[in-house]
Amino acid sequence: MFGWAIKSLLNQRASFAASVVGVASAFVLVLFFDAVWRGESVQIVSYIEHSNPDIWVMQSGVSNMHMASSYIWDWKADRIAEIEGVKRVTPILYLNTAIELGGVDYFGYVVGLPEGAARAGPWAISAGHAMPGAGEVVIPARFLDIAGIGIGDQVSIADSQLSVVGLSEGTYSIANPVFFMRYSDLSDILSAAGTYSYLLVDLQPDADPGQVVSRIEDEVEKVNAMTHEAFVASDFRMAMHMGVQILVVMTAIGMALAVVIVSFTAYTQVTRRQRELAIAKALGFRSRMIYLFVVYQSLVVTLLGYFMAIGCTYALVGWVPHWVPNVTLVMSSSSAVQLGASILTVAILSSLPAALRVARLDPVQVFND
Amino acid sequence: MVPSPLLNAFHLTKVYGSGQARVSAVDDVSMSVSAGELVLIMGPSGSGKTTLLSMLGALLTPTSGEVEIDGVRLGSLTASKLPAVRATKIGFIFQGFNLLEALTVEENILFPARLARGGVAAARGRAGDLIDRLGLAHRRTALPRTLSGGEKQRVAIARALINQPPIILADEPTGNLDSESGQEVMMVLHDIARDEGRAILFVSHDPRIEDVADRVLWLEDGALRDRRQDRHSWVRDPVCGMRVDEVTASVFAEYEGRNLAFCSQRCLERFQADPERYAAKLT
Repeated sequence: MFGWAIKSLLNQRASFAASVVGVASAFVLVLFFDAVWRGESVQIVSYIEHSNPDIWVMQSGVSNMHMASSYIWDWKADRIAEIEGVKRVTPILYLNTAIELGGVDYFGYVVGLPEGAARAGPWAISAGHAMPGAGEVVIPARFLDIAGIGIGDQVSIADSQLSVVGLSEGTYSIANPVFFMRYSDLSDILSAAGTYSYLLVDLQPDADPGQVVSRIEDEVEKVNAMTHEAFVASDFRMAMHMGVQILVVMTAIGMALAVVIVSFTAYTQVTRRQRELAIAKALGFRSRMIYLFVVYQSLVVTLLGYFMAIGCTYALVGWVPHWVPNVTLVMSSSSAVQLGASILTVAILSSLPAALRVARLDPVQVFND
Repeated sequence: MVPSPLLNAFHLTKVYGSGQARVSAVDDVSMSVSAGELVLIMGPSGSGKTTLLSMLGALLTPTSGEVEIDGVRLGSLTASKLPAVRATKIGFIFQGFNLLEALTVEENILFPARLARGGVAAARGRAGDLIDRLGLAHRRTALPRTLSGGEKQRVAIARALINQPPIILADEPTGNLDSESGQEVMMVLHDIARDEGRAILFVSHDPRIEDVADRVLWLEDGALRDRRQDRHSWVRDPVCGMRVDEVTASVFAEYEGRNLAFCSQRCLERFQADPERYAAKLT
């Protein structure tokens, strides 16, 4: 039955190819949108990942950075610095806000760095310098392409004019490009003198991060301490969660399209092959065997469409950032595997309308010349 | 010793519709076909031949009456058992050949073998023998669309024989063949009945088959009747020159006020393609 099903598909190559391409298009929609969202989510946690302390400390009740606010009194940083196992504490002030570049507002992270901060600043610089002084700002280098803003240009953050002194790499995403300015300037803007947002804690070489987290939470009230890995995972989850509903809708649309296309293919195959299927019935094949013919064809079309979609999405993920530089795409093998796992369901669901037609086939029609 | 019938029909009736719309397609038909026997059912169009053949082939359930195939009464079987009867007890040959377009000659022949004991592997040697016997060795890997009508029907015959069924049911097996191919197919079937002891039942308009049939049954208005010789009206097919009975022929065309009968659709098509060429013969 399988051989006949394959040969029947290959016997009508144009229709077969069109079906595979149709199914692939639907799956590309699902995989590409997932890659867009995943890429953006990866960029959202890029700052946290590159800052890379052993422990993050923030206001109690806060467990992520994206779209969050956190305030900690400055004396708590001093307390934490004295806790056993702690080597160094780097405090930052942090704000989610609109930043005006060249007359256009961009939403972004603003990180206020204390003078001489050992970490928490930009990790790669393409022009200028990494540490901003008073009245200065370091912006993502991508804004040179997007807005034509570079070294020496002016940027407005909450009505404060700052001069661009550095262009940083790897700090751009659509949702949260990261801007670096002096702690004191951001503190003035926020009227938040004496407070920090996050504390980046480095540990002594032999200290256990889990134990130090417990000590910090025991000895300093109203703070939340998380290991670096836990904080990255929490922020990534939050970022992904914000897109879950959209992802679910897009996935549902893609899957529904795939079901419609494969159903149409299976139904068309049954309609075109109605006489041959009736012959098979007349020769003694049971309806369920003929139904297998339909399922095999649906499976082949769906699987080929799936693999074609993987290849196309992989190519798009490589090419699109060259054409649209402000988009970061990350193709996830787990998403591809999840989609692959749903293939069987798609193929079987798609075969149902054709199966009903198979069940109703009258083998007596073989006598009609 | 008279061989016992392989195919029996007892008071077969098939009724469609009800009340005023009630039509008896087949009306109280009883008949039998024994091993090695060729029986031809003839009759005018709409006489119920195909309905009768469908019931005898376990494709259609009779309204009343019973069919017995190789000792198995179909009425005693559930619907789910009938496909197995068709697969192992009956070989079908159709006017339209009904080959599977995507499969080669050999694959078409082996197609029903997966339903028989031993499957395709066990039938491969038998398929090779049939291919050789039916002169298809050079066409073994050909697709049906590349075959001539005669070759297609020989493939269909091989397919009908692959599971070694005791009964062959043939619906207009020469209907789409020219005179030479039709004759060739008839002789193959004749040999199969004689050499292998299979019961062969034909439904046909083709008077050539009468020459090889052991018995001819006349079906009219759904019932078997005595065939009246005065109902014959023999004419010549203007294309192939074959003798055609105007009473039973199903392929006609009107040309210059004359009603012409043809032995097959193929001859009609050839006539329509170039009527002047054949009109000369109409004197």
